[in-house]
Amino acid sequence: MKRRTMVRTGALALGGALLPAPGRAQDAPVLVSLFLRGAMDTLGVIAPHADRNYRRLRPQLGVPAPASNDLDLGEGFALHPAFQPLMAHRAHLAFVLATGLPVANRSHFAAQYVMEHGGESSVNTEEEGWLTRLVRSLGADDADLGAVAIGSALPDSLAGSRALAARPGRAEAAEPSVRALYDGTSTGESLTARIRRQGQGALRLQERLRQLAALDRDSREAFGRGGLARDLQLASRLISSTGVRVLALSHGGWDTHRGQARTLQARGRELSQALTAFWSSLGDHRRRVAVVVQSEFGRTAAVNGTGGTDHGYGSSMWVLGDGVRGGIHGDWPGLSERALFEGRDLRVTNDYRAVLQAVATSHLRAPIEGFPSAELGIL
Amino acid sequence: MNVVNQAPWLAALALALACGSAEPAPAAPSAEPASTAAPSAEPEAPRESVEAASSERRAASQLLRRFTWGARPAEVERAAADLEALRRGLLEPAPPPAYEGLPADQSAGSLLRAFPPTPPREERMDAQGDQRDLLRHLERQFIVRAIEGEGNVVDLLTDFWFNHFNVFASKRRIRYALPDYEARIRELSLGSFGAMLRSVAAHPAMLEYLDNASSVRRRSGGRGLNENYARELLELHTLGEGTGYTQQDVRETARVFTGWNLRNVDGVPTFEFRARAHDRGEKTVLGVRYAAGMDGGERLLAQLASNEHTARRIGERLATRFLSDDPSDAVIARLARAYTESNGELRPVVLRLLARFEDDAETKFKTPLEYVVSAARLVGAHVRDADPIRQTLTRLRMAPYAQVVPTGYSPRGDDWLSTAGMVERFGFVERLLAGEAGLEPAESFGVPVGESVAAVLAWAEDHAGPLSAETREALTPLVGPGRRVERLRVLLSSPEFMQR
Repeated sequence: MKRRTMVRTGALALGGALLPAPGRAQDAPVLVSLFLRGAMDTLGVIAPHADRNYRRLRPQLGVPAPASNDLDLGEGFALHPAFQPLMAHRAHLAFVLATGLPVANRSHFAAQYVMEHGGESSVNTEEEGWLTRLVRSLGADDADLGAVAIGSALPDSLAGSRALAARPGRAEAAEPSVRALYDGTSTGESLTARIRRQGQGALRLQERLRQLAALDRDSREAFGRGGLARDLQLASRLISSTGVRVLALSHGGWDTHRGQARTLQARGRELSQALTAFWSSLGDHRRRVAVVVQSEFGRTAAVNGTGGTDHGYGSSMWVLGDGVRGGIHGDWPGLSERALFEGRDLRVTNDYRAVLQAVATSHLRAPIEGFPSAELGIL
Repeated sequence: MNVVNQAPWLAALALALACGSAEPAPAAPSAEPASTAAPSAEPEAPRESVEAASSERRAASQLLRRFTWGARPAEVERAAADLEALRRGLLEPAPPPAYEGLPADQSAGSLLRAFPPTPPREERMDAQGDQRDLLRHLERQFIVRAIEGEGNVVDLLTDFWFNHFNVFASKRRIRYALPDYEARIRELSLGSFGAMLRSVAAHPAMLEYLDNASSVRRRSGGRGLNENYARELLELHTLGEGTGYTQQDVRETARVFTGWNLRNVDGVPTFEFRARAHDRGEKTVLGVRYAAGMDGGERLLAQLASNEHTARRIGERLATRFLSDDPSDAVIARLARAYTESNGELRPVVLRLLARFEDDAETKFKTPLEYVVSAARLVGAHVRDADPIRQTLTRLRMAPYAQVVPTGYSPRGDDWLSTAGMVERFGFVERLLAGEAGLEPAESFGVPVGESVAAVLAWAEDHAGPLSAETREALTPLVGPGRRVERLRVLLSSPEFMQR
């Protein structure tokens, strides 16, 4: 049983720690984790148009065989047209197919919880998030702004970490009287002293994030509309001006039970435009960064009665990075009746943790303890 | 307060309150050697107490901070005038304040009629219609009750036992069964633990949450045994991890509870013992054999409730929630003994918890729920719109009914102490002061005029306990009616108010 008390880090490094150490952190590899919440319909986004069962299962909502090669991912797969901007990165954007939890769970909350804690099947898994463990493996758990969640709250993947949540946009500075209350040094291990240190760190880091989070309007347009655009704009800014090593982002609205065609069109545009703008905004920092996109599970292979799809199993994970070998990866289990999981869902042939481990090992050089590894050939 | 001073009020309290119970009143703590008091783990920085604060006022402040959701304006002063009444009142809860968004009858059937679930039954992230509305109302009701309720320990015990027997509102249709589940826990929070355990075991909320609803004897093909409930019953609800039971015991326990399932009665999931789904074979748990039938499960629950490991676990959990993040063995043993001596009655255990708290308790970091609710109560707030508070609690990762895992929210304060949490607490204070927290505070936030430094510090100590030199210094210039908002900001943001 892996329940255990969270290990708390002691004193914050005080003062002078805000700027990355020269020549060190600015060279250090960075992970951007983007979680698509609600279960992205992989079969609607990366279409196996060469699989003859696909047309049978998806008489509507099926993505047709690409007319030209501007949506062709090769090996019989094509990208949904709304995601077309991603084709610009095809050389270093890997799509790993048929990924997921080793044991199926069709509850959004449970599946997200298990995945974000790096578990296998049960919610009774590690109390810490998988990114929390990664940050420690990177040796960045004591660094200021070593990990940042973009959004209003820390996601489960950063549970038990020192990470802060930052929202893009202008925010008020802390009141002088509160700053004064937490001014000065605080030693000792009394509860009051420990609270004081956390409070000091909070005010200091919050001020730094506040200054960064006031985004400039000039580059806004390229990122497009919507929350994800703003979030990725802030992420880019944090990468270029702080020593951040791990960034966690979320994008919601993928639970397409009905009217999926319209929703996928909107989400696809938003995601691919923002991600493309993010990637180009990084400039020289690009070589340091890997982006991993994942979702809690896939959706039913067949269309349901309301122009949508229901909760399924096999999903896909996308990895973007300069060192990434682009294109289709992972064992494709197929869509024949016998190949489908419980006769209805894409099977899982690639443990999601093996994909994360590949990125942690090859890109970040910081393997995650307990995660299985597999030869995926993506990095 | 010393032992000699405590005995009379404890005896009076025990007499007044134990009369409903057949069990004898707990032994007066003076019978125990004083040396069993918990040694303080860390030498705290010396904190002076304000001269103005009488010992009664300090006692009232401590009781209200530790055994209620927090004191309201002038409540400490009032309570200090009659400490006996305060102590009695803690165990005599008034009915929870009304919440208008839900029907008076909060049975699952009534809620299913008021909030008809939308097909498909699949849990969805968005557009759940009435089902989502019901959950919002339950969350709001929780917040209104905590902020507007009369201060008493039963409210905290209900929350404590709910987390001990945690269920997750968004799994399937558990939300419809939640108010009933919580009400039963509340009813028994000063009653018999065995009765609570039995009530939980057969409740639709728990049967759904830990999947016993679908646990049946093995048949060829189809469904079979599900060990989820059995495992948590032993590990979390009763004995505790590492107390000597084996995987074989878990499996046998699961077999004992096969057939403890649900049946739809007029669309309402209702407990039913399905004899045909029950495994009638021989089972042995912890060396004891259990007969086939529903009676086997009942007997196993009773055995577990009277097990000494269960007594110790309950003592440890209660001590951790109310007294200290790291309670001493002596404190745990004392509570476990009270549990065992009373055959699992909880009132004597709670009385024991209250009896020596001033010796046994160490300050704890408030959980997000304790912090937000105590701040709202301090300003005498009426809840105009509970959603901003809910959002704050979500950002603090402690929204009502939202804990996915069966361990519930941690009762340890230290588990909640983080930089991100402090950022969010400071932000909440500013929203509260700016009128953006959905609260209607009392006039001038219920902050007294504060004509002198002594009066200002006495008010602060009423709500936050002894103050550090830094906080005293920050409060000292904030005298007079014009500085009330600033005074409140400093107090709510201070390290002391973050503690209970």
